[in-house]
Amino acid sequence: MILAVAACSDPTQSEDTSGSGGDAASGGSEDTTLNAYLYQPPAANWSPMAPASGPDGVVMNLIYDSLLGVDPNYELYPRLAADLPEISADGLTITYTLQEGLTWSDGEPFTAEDVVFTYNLMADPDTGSTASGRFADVVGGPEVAAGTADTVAGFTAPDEHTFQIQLTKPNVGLVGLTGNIWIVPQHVLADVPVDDMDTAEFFTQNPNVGMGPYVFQEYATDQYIHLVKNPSFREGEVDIDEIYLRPVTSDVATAQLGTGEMDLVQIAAPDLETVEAMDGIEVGSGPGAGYIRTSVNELKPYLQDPRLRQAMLYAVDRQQLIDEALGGNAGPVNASFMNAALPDDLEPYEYNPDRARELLAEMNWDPNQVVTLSWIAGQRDRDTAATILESQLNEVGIKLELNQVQPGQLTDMMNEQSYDMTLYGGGNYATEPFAVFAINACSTHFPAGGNLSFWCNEEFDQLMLEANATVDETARYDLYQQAARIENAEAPMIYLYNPDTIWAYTSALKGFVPNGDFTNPFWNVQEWSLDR
Amino acid sequence: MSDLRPSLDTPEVTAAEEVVATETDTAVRSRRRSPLGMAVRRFRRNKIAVAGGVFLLLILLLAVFAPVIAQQSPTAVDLGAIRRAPSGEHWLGTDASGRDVFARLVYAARVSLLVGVFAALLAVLLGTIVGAVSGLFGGWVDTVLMRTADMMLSFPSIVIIIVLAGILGPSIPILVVSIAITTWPTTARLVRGVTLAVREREYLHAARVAGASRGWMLRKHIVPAAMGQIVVVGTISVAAAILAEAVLSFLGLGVQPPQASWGNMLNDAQSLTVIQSMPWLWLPPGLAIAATVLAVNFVGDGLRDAVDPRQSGRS
Repeated sequence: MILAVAACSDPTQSEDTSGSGGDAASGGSEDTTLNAYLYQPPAANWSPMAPASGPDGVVMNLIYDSLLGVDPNYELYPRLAADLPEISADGLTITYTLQEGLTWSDGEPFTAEDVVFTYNLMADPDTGSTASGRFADVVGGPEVAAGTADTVAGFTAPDEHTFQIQLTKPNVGLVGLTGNIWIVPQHVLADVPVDDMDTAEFFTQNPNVGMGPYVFQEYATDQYIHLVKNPSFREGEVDIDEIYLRPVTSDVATAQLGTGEMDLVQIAAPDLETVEAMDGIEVGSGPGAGYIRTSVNELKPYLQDPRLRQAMLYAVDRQQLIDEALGGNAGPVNASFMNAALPDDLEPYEYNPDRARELLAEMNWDPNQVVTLSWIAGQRDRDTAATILESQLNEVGIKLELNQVQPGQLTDMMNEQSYDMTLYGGGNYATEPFAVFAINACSTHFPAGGNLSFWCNEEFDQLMLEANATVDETARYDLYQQAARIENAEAPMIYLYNPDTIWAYTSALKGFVPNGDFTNPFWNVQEWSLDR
Repeated sequence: MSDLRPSLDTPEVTAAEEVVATETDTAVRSRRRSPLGMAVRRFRRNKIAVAGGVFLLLILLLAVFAPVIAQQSPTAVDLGAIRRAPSGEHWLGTDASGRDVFARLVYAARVSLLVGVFAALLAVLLGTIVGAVSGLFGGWVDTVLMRTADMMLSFPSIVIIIVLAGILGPSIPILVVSIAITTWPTTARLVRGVTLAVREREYLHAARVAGASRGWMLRKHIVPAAMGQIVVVGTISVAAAILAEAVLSFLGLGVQPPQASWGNMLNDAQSLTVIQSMPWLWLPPGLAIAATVLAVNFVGDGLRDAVDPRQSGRS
């Protein structure tokens, strides 16, 4: 009885109510206000150098701008740059020409010096940057990463509107991996010591100067992020005056879409039919650029045999998972590569439990060996996938146990390399195939990179590096395809599916183009309008 | 000493009744029946309580014979039959992974009863010891123990449980322990009250003069005197613990998948689609929780009336 009373007085509950009460008050004005769903609460560090965090990325895509952007086809397009960069014939010089006459949201002029400043911050691990490794082929990049130099000699601004990168050897993937770095204002941050950059008040409290279409106003913890339009945005005035980003669960967001409290929501595949039946709601989707997978920790002696991973792939009916549990709103995955880098002769690992049992018998798999799958629960499709893995792997004789963990717990497990298997997803491997290097190479084992399987295949690494240094496109993609075949055969992870990102929005919202990258729904927000 | 004990044993049983009576001094009762027999008679006259008891017995049978009653496995997924409506094959339909909802419901009864009963037992045990020691010893022991109990009572218990589950990782033993350590103060205060009253009665003075140790008085007089009320508060605690288990599992901090519990089955009901068009996924576990908790509370009320007839009809 006491428990029931306590549950009613749960402080988070009452906070929620007061939050939505405040919304109603802010409604009636003449300003147009868009209420959008944020899929997780932000980490509240809006620094481009901070470790990647999806919800913070949504915010940074609105308040900052970058030289290049990625469109819903996962192709690069110019934003602050006037065009895609020119790459010299020897592949050693990358030249960006910036748009002229641009100003920051506070009226200060935007120049190539801001770009040099930002790229230097990104290349310096002292700023908290986790991306310094990407600049290993830039002249002076390794010195800054090692701490023997303060600025990268290879980043220069020959004039106000030109930004140049000098390389020591060709690195084709660099543009795709670094062109979309959010540019931060030098005139605001110049006096912040480099070591204090990751805790600078500008990044953690009030990033209110930017080049993006909106300006940061306020973050009410766990309630909303308030943004207002940037009067000096490069494409002229933006139509929608204010945006509120609200971190709620997708279930709540979907319900609020029906009541009109929410205008733009990412929905779960099983809810598609319900939402389509709502009045005045439009639905659009885009294919994802990452995928949902399960890394198998190869530092554990009992998980090292590739036949085990192959058996797992055969044991799980992934096609039916896509067709039935996800209603067909996902694509199959059998390697981390996409588009032109993906060969069409990969082993599809079609559902075949007998083959799985054969492989396990061949390698003398101990059926009493318990394997634990740890993941952060809360996303419906992932939870379902975990349930199905548990059931179908046990069926072929792999004793899988499920272990739901909190985000902090999983970080600890990653640091200690203590998990057996972990289920997660995301990433963008469609724009630039070299992005796969960060999740599969010997040198990118966590925490140096995103390789959570601790897989290491030197031939694979060699092919990847060679591809990235090959300027000729056909030869480059041929190398990537060879790498993909190795990855597919060794299966460092249990590939599950590539989910479509499904957006539902009020029909009053015009100009919305659904993006499969769920961290960037606002990629063309300047073209949106809201006609209520 | 040895010839004192038997003579003390006789008033012991009536003590339980008399303690209650001392508060108002209006006890008039038949001396022919034993107090226990009278309590049983009173309980059996309370139709709602008996109905609650029968229902609980039913749930208990369901839990014990789950493998016989449910033909399907509660954890077997069937990707060919996801979110199917109730049918001959699946009496209560299937969930998002194609698991049989009826089988999960039946197996989940085990978890709910297990957590409910064990958490309540642990809480009552802890509360009885603390309450009796507190009341019997008095002084600073009493102050320390009772202020601790007050502290526990003034925290929102669900928050404590969530923090514990978050730190130690969610599992059934953690669930039982964390529910117990947030509910014991209720029993402790009750038992302390009874102890304070009994402590001043003549037969305990006599026992003390005769050289009875505190432990002996505790075992032989104080706990038996409070037993009636302990049973009542224990029963109510079972209901609270079942609810707490459901809440935590609903939040994902209780019983872990793939094991079924009524709470984590309800987790599905957060989805608008499920609420609107798939009642078979949330109605059965919801009703099961409501009915079981109601039944436990009815039994608890019945027991209270039976133990303490002056309270009947006044609740």
